Amino acid sequence: MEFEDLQVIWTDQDKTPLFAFDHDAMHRKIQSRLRNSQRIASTQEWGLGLIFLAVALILVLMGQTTWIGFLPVAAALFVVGRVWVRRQRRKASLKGFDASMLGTLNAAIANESHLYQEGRTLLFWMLLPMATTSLMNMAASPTSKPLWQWLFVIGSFVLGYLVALRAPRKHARQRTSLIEVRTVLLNAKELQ
Amino acid sequence: MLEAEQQERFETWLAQYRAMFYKVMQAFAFNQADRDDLFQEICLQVWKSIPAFRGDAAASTWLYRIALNTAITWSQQSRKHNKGHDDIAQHSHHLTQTAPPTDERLAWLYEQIAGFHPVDRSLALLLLDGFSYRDMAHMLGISESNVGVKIHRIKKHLVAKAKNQPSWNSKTSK
Repeated sequence: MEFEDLQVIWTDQDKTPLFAFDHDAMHRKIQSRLRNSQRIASTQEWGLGLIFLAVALILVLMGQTTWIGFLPVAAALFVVGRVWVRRQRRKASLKGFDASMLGTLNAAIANESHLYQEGRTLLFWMLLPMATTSLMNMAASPTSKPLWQWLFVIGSFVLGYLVALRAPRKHARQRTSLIEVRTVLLNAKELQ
Repeated sequence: MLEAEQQERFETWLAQYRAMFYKVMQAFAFNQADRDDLFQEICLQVWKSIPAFRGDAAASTWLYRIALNTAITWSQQSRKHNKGHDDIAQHSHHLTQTAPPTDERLAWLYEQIAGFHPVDRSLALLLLDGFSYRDMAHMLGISESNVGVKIHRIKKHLVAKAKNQPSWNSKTSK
């Protein structure tokens, strides 16, 4: 057998049907991405809610006596409340999408957009209120706090901010990738 | 470029060069889930690249180049991601119902190609599809002389291996 014979075998394959697009499988894949994104959102919501509820409880149990002492408690409860409200809104908005492939894809995009928005605004609704009220509380304390405590608290919030900066990037990438899939799906009759 | 124009070109090319995409998928991805993933990636890259198509090269050459470069990058990333574990969840999805080659000689040919290094794999596909050395060098960003050396090695390897398949040699001689 010579190379030309191999080339004939190779060229002959163009005469046979090659592949067809499996609509159901694509749908399943998109559904799985939506479930994954919903799971991440739920974990974050429950995680943040429980952590800040615990923070509020610990602060109360520590025996706050002044109104400034209750400010961090209020900030922590504000975070819990906001997370709960946003969760309800997110779930309600997802109900608006139908079960079709495009509907599922749009729901996945909406969910990723929600996660992206939450990550992007984390500084304003979580870090800043908690940092400001905690520092105010420390400043109003009758006994002056040692320098290391100030540095520790400020450092923790700066570190939290730096970590929070990275989170939205991942969701932005996921969202872009889903939007690209939607563009291809909408524009290719082959794939519908 | 208008979006409608981009859409029309994408649909036409996807249908027209279906065989070419199939060959790249078969040569670079070895299970259904991976082929789906690669197909999706190639589609995305083609869609994104359409506005950049100026018509300096033939559409087939240009698309082959995109498909091969995507496949090479994908296979490197895929190897990195799948190292050490087999993602069972991936195997439950089949975006494309790919028909395996029915001709045993063709299946063997794909098997041989799959054994090559990604660049040699790309060269083997281009060689079998009758592209010139110049086109191959341009597509893969390597010199023509380098293409010549690699092609010589690929041809020698394939012919030598094929000669060890006695049942085919009798088929060919008929």
